[in-house]
Amino acid sequence: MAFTLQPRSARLVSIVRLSVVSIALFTLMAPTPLRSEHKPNVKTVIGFSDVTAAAGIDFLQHSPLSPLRHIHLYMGSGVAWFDYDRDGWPDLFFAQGLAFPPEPHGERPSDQCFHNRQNGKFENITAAAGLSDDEYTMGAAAADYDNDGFPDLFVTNFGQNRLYRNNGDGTFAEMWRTLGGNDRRWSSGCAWGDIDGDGNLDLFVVRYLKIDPENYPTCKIKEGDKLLFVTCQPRNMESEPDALYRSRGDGTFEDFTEAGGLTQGPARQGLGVVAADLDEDGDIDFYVANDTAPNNLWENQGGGIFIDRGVVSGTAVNRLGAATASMGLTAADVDGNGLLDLAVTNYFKEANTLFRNEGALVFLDVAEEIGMAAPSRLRLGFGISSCDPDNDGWLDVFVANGHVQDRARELGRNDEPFAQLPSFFRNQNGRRFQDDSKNCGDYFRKSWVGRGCAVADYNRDGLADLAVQHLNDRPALLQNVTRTAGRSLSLELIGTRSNRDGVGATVVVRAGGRDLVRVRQAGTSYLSCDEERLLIGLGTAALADKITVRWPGGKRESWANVPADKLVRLVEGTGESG
Amino acid sequence: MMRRRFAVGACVLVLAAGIAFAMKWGRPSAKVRAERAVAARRWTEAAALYEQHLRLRPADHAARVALGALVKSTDARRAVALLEAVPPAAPEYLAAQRHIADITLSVGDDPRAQQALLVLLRNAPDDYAVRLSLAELYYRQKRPKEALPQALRCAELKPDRAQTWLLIADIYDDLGHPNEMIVPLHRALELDPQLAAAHLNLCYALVWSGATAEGRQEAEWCLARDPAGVAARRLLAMCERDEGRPEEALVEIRRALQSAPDDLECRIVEAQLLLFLHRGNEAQRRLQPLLARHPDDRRLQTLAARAAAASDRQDAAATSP
Repeated sequence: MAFTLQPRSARLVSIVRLSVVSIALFTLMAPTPLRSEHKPNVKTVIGFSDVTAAAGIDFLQHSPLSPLRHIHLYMGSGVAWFDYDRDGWPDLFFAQGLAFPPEPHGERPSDQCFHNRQNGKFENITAAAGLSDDEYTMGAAAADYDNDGFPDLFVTNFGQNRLYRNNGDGTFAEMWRTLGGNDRRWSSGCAWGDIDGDGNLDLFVVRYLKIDPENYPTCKIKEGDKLLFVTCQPRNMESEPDALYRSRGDGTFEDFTEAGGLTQGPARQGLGVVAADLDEDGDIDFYVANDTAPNNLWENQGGGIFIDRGVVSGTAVNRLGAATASMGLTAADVDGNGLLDLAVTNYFKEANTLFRNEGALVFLDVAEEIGMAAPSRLRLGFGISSCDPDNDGWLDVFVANGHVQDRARELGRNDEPFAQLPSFFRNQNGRRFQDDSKNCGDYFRKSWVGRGCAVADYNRDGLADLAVQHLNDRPALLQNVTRTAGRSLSLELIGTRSNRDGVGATVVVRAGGRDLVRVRQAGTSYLSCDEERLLIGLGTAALADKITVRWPGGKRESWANVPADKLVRLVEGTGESG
Repeated sequence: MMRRRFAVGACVLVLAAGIAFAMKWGRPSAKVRAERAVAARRWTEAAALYEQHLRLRPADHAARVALGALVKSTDARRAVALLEAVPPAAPEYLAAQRHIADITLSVGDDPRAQQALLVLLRNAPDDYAVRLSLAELYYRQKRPKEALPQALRCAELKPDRAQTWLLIADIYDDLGHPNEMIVPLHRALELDPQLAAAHLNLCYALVWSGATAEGRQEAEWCLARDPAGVAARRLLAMCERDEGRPEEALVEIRRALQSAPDDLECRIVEAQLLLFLHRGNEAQRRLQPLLARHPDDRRLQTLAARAAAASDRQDAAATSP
């Protein structure tokens, strides 16, 4: 695809916008208290409170299940946190579904964007912001692709995708069609990352199945005397290839899929994707969760040329050598060894996989040994978020569960409920996970058809909160009400040579004798996106002895003695080198 | 002269009638003698007599069924041929089908057995033996979806038979629902608390479902009665593993391997644990001969690849300055 757009001086705009939002080129902001009270982190009980209604979020995901059980209606949608107006408070974008076939005379529901009013309430600003979309939306990922200081938003659809350029005044302009992106292939996950180190964010778009809406394949099963329509098995359907779009640096993109090496293998039905430097060589790799097909680990050979290392890295299949029905994923250092591990949600009875990073791009599925397999075996996982709600410095894992077959009971599978309990896996000091779901609040005691989920500290209290999408249901805004959480540090990365948002940067925080590794990602989980800031739990440490940032491209900078309980803006070029 | 002729004729007639009477009623028929032979457990003689009888009376289906029953243990094919000649309209038809089911089940002719059992089931839906036979047949044929309703109905008809609940649990396992084994196995153990197979299968189902504490209890029950039980020891090792004690799991799995050094499942768990414990070299050493014996096992292939990669890294770490 050859994109054309009037070139514009992205970098100049960036500086102007930076000053507009009062982000001066200094390293540390004046201390901004995040929490007033801290107690030692001993046997903290992690808790979340469902505050959706109180926050004024009246969104309802609309994906009515059709009599013919069209498969896309079951896939649901994601959620994205992003501070679109740069007021320092993350706003919330919910991807919306659509009936199939659309009701001929009915109003088409749209994606919804809610502005964070900084008082625990949200306000729907969709129409005013120009974010209305009347297609079935799968996912969204926010990042400042034009480096103007304001986050933009890419939205994947069962239909025409959208790229919303943030105008910086509270409105967005849809660019994708203008840029020539006019195909209607079914896209699912997406993630931003600078694949060639040129300071401009490129875009990976995962595609799922090849479906012609005019000739939609459906499946039926004979059960006794009845003939039941059920969702089709993805493995029996044709897949669409993923796509890679490289930024030209002028706001336009070129289709880099083939040049980047992504067409070297067969197309696979993908869902989730993460972009991170998985082999620590300074460039961005992609890991793609494929549904009933081996997962891809696209290792960047440099310059944005990729080779699939899924099989040799051990991440294509699970410990049994089976290609699982992978849905969502997260890249996070869960065992504290400084390397990014990969956690993947899978189908009912497959159990989630946790690929421990052994170094040198070799991974080992240790889900059984670390306690994540057994509690997830009787769940079908979709969204998965790594976060540290008790700020003990160890990343816990939240999983949104829900089936894709609403007729399992009719098919004699009585043990496979459509709505399922969510999961919260608590990290036991990097050794293993404990299923702590039942202790985390009322939300965890109810069954949901969970789909996308994403993390943000939406009320700026220094605690990680969650937003969760549910199929044909209201979402959940889960406020973290953990009482005796440790201290934390909120980091905002500002790239100058790198992309403006520092997407793809790896941060190492040395605190309390430990190195805490976190990655700035734009696109994760299942079709979702965490907020821009990195919230890092420090346990009882009063300060971070050292913060090292490895910017996209590999350049390292560090900052020393950063006090806890603060928002810290780390601007590229202002730290100590090395 | 006429009178004499008449007298001679009458005598001949009486004699013929007498002979006929003697032939017909004077000596027991072959069938009767066959029945007597059966009563006296003289099976060969009985069979021969039934054969004799059927040559004269081929439409005697009762005799045919009796003969079929007699020869089924010595000549199954002949017995089925005899029994299949009983037409559906005959009162003996269902008895013949029952024998056919019995014979064909015992010789492994599953399609014919299924045919006969379905005939019987149509006529007597609550026939427990027929249901159970059908359930077992489907289970043996790896048709768990069809086996399940039959077995469940058996359990309704005769809920106090522990083996039926055991069968239901096995069917759930074949269906890929090990978690659903738990309820029927608990039921089997209520009926027969010493049923070792139920304890072991319950252990497996509990461990699979993540209920490791209960699974451990079952494993320990099994090992108390059979300390060399490989499957129970392996499940105990998996409990240790799932509860976050990989070293202890390794100890248990090696105890299991002492009893069964070639047990593939144990070797796989051992290799997985070694890899988890960063002992790639050791895992690789143990996997190599195993892979040679089971080259097509996907789990082994995956493990071997992981072990090779881990081993390379270990070697590199050992040689690096």
